[in-house]
Amino acid sequence: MSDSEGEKAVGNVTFKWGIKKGVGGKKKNIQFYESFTYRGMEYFLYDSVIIYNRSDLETYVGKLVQIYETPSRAKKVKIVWFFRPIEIRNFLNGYKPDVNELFLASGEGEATWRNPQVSEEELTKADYIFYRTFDVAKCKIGDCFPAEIAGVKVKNFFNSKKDQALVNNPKVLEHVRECPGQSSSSSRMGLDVAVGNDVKGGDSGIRLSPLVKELKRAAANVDEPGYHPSDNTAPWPTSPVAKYEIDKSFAEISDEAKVKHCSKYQAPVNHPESKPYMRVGSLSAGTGLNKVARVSPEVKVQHFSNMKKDKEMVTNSNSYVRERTGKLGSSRLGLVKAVGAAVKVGTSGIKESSVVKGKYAVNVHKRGHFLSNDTTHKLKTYVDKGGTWSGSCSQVENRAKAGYYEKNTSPSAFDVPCKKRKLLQDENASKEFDKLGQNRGTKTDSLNLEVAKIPNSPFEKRLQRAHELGTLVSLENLDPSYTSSEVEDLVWHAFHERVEAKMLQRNTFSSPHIGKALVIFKSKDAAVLALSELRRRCLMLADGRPIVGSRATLSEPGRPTRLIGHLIIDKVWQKQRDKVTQLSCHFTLWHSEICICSRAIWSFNLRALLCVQIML
Amino acid sequence: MESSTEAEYAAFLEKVRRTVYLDNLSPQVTESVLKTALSQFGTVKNVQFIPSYTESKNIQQFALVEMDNSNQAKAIISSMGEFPFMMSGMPRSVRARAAEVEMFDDRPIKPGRKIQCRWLDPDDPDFEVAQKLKHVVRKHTAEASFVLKQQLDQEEMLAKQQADSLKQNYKKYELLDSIMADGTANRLARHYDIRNLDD
Repeated sequence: MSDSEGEKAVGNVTFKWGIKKGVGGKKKNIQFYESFTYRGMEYFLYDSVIIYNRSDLETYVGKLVQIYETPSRAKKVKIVWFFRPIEIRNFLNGYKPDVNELFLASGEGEATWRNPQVSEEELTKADYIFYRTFDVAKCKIGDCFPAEIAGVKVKNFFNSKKDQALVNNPKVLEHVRECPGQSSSSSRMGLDVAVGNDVKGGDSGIRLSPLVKELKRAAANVDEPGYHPSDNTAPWPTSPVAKYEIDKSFAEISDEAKVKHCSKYQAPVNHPESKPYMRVGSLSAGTGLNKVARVSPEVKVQHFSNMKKDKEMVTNSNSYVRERTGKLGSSRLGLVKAVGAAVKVGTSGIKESSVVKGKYAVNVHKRGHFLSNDTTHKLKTYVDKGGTWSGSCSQVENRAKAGYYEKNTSPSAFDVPCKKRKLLQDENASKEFDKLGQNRGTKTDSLNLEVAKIPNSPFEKRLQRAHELGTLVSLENLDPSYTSSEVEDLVWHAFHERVEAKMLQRNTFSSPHIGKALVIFKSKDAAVLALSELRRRCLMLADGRPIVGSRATLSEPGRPTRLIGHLIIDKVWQKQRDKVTQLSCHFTLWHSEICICSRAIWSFNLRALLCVQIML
Repeated sequence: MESSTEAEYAAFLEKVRRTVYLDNLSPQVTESVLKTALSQFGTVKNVQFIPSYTESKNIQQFALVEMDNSNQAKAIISSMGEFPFMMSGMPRSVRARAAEVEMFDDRPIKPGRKIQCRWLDPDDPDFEVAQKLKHVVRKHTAEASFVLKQQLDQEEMLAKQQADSLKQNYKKYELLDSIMADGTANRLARHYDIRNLDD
């Protein structure tokens, strides 16, 4: 690793320290700075920055709260993140954020802070606004700002007066702004005197500062093929703060290898490799921004020797597994930690009963398995819609049925030789069948079942036998809310055959509108006759549904014992569990896509059915 | 008589509200596994697997898990929606939904329901339409099963892809471990004068 002294040009990038602030640290050998110049742009303490990462499709907004250099010449920055709404969408709980709203990450703290005012025009000029916090530990949105975030007084997070001159600077491309309380239009409480000095009292005290300094433009000009930071995760276990290391020597390390590795890494997740790198971000360029604390061994491989492993993340794995911490950047790290927990729980690899909770969606964001943020959001809402849709569907059907039903007082209705035979459940006949059905439901009826403790195993045997004998028939297009006993009654009334029926329970893949039942006839002839009758004539149900009968096909016995999609991991492979969990996010999302597709198909089918039924 | 069936049905509905429907379960998951896994959300009262007779390629299991109260059920569903929850294997996670009435095998009959049916003969005016309807239904089920089969095929492909990449990574690790273990790396380091290889 080469050393880095003073100003050094790496690629097109220059770096220079600015104002010194003081010396601190345990051994008093850490030099703090108030500013630094990077690529021709000067960054001050408490500036808001946008951070790019090559491998990401999204940028991160953060605030520099500490700038320092360690004795080993490692340049580091401490950043408090702003959350985008999409990143904490699971915790929004119905709160609808503004388009450009961000949430400041905060840990625990007392909510005593008062917010300074901001003028309206500044608000409109701002590219981002934030006036709420997102508590990383509790995963909640808060209106009040705690007194301190990450050891830094909150007032530093707000715009200061110093860059007043730059307010109208046309060169400044983006502004990050803070605005108080609820809505921008309402007048605010006055400034807190304790806040102080940098904010003048009065109606519109806040000035803009050119918080984001032309990063995009700068980045656009830079074209560094070799460079990219490693993986994008910023450590985010319990604290909302990330430590970055500006490591010049990073550029020396074989970037090609890293590029390859990274792209390979992303391969299974369908990262669009045609887009090899993103803009190089502010702090992350040529000098090498290594995100600290990559506990995963892949990082080791990449010689992140300057990486400081954040010890706090590895502690307390159990609580971590349950705790949901901030989303931004956590991803892999969090996964590793969760994985670590599981490893401890189950001593050797993955046992049957080990349960691991991973992190969701962040990896997906990062790895570019993007249905895009919007789509994932849509996914969720669509699922809900699908659910409610089917709910309302069945309601409609029920109402239709209710309208059709009439009470026929004559118990022998089915004897009436008129053209339309309304068959009601005969009290006597039905009693018997009810008993059958209900008993079978509780699986203690001696008539139908042998003693069955293991659900369905004897029934499955009967099914198989029936299938072999040719007495198994499947009835479709039933009302899905029928029960098995009702089906048996139905068959009795229609064919005068005593049968054993089982209404198939609805699962993920069954149609919500069409009920299906397997019926075992007493003899093959009876089955054949019934099928031919069903084909020749039409057995209509109350709501105009014709029953469709066909020979039933059963699944072959002896299925494999492992679920497709479960990858076998050896004990030795535990290092890769984070990656595996990443894959799971991919899989999950993909899967939910498919389910939505199938739901869409079913709803389309229903509509088609309804159209045809209108003709009736 | 009437009121008892209604009460029974009401009790059943309440049970449905407390129950969670899980799918994507590996065939290796047993009742005890489910119980232990879900006990972190609350008391698991009952676990019932939904058998499937006709899907041959789809080898996942489905289960209905009854909890103590509906809040626990909702908690399960929401947290499974946010995080991937693994049971007996990775990386495919378990999915949870609110249970529906039709998922239960032993459901009581809806009170006040009368089933009616009638036969249509070929000379019936509505016969044609009914035949068409039957045809449509058949078509739909065929389409649906085709789509399902496609989905399962894709699942397999995806799983295979993931397994392959996992294997590759594993090989890399093995290689690295081996050279670290047998000292090759250190030797080379000394040879090329690279210090601090173990960082």
